[in-house]
Amino acid sequence: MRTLAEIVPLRTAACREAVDAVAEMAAGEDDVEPRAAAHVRSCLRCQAEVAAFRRVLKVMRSMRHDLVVPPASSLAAVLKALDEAALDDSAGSWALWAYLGGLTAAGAAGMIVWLTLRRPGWSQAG
Amino acid sequence: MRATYSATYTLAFRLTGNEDDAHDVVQDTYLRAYRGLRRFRGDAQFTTWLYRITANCSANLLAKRARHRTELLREDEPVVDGRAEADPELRMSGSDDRARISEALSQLPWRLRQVVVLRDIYDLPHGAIAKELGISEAAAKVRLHRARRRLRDLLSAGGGAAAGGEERVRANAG
Repeated sequence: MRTLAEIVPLRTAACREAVDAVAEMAAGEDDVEPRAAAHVRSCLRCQAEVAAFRRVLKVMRSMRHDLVVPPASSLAAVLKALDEAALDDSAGSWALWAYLGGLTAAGAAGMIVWLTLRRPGWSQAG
Repeated sequence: MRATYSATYTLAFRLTGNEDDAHDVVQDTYLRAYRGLRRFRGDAQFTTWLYRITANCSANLLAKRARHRTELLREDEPVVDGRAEADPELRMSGSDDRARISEALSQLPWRLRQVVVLRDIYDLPHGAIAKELGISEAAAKVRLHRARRRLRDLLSAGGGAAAGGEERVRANAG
């Protein structure tokens, strides 16, 4: 099989126009521009390039499983940030409950005062 | 988190091209994942969901950084080969091709590198890439075309990954 280094210099003007179609066909994508696709199917240089680029893509897909080793301190730092976020959230939710509780108590107190003031005889008594 | 940490860090490193930015992206990713866990619907893989958050965080960080400096550092961190062991052809083509492709990817401008990494390594759909990078699907496809063109030019100029692999396979077999 020819290599990309061997094929690329052999491209004609028509091949260069179909350069995106070559990559799309190598990737198995289905929205390839029809005229470019027709050129690729009829051109041995482009077909060789499709095969070579398909091989690049195969290596690239397999690179998904190559893991870069994170620095040892990185995981610990992220765990610490998550702990702090969890503490902030719980403090935030406590503050929210306290705020809602205060509102409810104030509302209840206001209601009691209002009902008391509305009772017949309260104003006469005063 | 421990189960996904290395994979998330690897993606962040590939997208940003350096350790410090990768660390910032990973931290941001897990904080957002922690706060948005209830929104994870389970109709996608958990790792895919994390990858999308990572892509979004890295796009935000790189866009911010781009306002302050021109280009990012090179990807020269050694990688640990995982699944290539399972495929004899990939094992034969081995680390040379992977190193050449990594080197070529590191030479791409970050806007092009993001789309080609997310599409051709992580197999994310065009729509998801566009959404996480904050661009239209058409723009994502245009960037992918440009990225692949540059990648092929870089590989062909350098003697090419995928380039010499088959010959080496035959030579080794013989």
